Amino acid sequence: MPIYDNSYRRIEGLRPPSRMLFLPIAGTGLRLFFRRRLHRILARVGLIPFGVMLLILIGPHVIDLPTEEFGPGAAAVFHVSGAGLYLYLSKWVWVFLFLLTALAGGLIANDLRANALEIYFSRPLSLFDYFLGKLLVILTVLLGLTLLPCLLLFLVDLTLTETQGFWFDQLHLLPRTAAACLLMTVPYGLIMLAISSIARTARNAMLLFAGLIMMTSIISNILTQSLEQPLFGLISINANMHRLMEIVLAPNPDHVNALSLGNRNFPLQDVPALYSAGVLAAIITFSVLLFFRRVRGVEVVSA
Amino acid sequence: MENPILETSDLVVRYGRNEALKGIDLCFGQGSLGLLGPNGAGKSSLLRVIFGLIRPARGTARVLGLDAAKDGVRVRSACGYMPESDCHIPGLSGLEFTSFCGRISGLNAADAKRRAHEVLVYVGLKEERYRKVDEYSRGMKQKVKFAAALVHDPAVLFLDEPTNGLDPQARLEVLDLMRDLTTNKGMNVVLSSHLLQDVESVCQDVIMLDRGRVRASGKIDQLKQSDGGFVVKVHGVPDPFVALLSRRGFRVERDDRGSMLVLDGNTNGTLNVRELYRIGREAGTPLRHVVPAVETLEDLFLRTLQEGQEGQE
Repeated sequence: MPIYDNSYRRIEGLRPPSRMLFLPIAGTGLRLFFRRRLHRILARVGLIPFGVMLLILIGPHVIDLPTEEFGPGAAAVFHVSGAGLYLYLSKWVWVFLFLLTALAGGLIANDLRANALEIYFSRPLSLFDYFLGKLLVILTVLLGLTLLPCLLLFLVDLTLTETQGFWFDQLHLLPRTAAACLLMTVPYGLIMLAISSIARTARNAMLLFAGLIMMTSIISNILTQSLEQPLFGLISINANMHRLMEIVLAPNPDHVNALSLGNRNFPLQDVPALYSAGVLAAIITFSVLLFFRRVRGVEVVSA
Repeated sequence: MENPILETSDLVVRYGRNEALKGIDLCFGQGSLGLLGPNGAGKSSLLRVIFGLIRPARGTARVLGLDAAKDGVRVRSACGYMPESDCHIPGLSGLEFTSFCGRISGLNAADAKRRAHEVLVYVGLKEERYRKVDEYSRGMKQKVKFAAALVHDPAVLFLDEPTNGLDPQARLEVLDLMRDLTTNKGMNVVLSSHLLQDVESVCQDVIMLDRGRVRASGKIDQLKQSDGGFVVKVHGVPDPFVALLSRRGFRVERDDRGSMLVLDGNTNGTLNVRELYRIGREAGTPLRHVVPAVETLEDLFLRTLQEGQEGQE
């Protein structure tokens, strides 16, 4: 019987050119993220609002509840609507988004601490692959809490409603919902990537992110209320995100009033939405630039 | 030289005002190459230029005929690199880490996993491959980096100080692996080290760098000079033999292990084996070991550095 060499073997044949190398980075990042019990628990708890929304949608059909008797707000929650989605995204899920983003602080910080960049960039990877891979990790987690439940709610609502033309009436909400979810997740993801690239540990990144989001909101509220100048609302990252979400989802004013969404102490109510878009665009640009400045595949050393 | 593995031309690397590489030109064919030099000689900078991790201020580096700056992705795809620093991806096991390195080198998931198993067993991480890299000892971390550099079967393997911080046993194991790769598996290896014995035991060619310049390059055997002397060991007391040699005008340097280096001294080239045996007979001292004295790599290294320093002065 021949004895084969079971030690190192050369690869024979052709290897296809490498592409989509951000996918293994994203896959490994997600696996590492969900390896922690706290992250898994938080992601599951973050789906509770979805469960509640689902019950509200299905409940009346199961127990044959006359939803019309509940007043004008009922249409906003017993069917998928702009106001209902705004309530779901900006009030119910927001805390979980914030916490899960904060927990992703180790995405770049851990790589920097363990000198892993040399491992990545001695491979046929570009810096953009690395960036995309890491961003996909955060976006997958956050969109799993926002976009995916929203789409499922749509599907359930469309399946249960027998009204003629309901599909067409609701169709415009689909791209609006996707845009609103991206508005909530992309700025958070990019801010966290930038912060993670300047912090040396995951904990520092988490604290920096939480500090940034909370402090901008607190400062904005104090200045807006004490000086009675709504423009100071632009300081708050959350306020800008919510303002744009409101524009994108365009909730029915009746529904907004019925759900008390209009009575909130919202600082940017009287500020043009374009200002908020500008602020958010500036934050996104700054975050991306900071990331690419801190994470270098190629160290430029020539004088 | 036909199809050189590594070729640089007027390569200059600057860190601010400090020039790490000062216009080096080198060419290396197939086989195993040792990059020798003291700390700060520019070895790691050269490797980083090759992998596109730093951009040179001037000049070019070509690997397998590809320009490292322009075809960086193809160069990195064809080469394996084991960095000097302690680096890993926190939270991954040895198997996951190596498999991940295969994936980002372009292997598909199934191939990467299979190769990861193979190379980890090859480097001696058997059951340990399922443990987290964070929990590994220094030696095991070196081995897993070695496996990660090999996982995609590179045409050229660049190793930066691979035996740093290893205990003697682990060091010998890593050296054995490198020898096996170069002699039995036909892989080209570029070994950067300041440990002369490591380079001598693995490589046929050497490039000596000092302060960013190439001081010597070529086959190790050809670079080593014979100084015309002989290393001699004798039976019994060597004193009469040494005394007679000195009277005849030969220079004798004795060491504390019983051997002596006999040099021509002022005899105008009359030293040879026959003459040594004749003098031994006359002194009544039987000789048991006579070999031509050849420079060690350490001697060569020190001489090269000294010549370089004198040249600069």
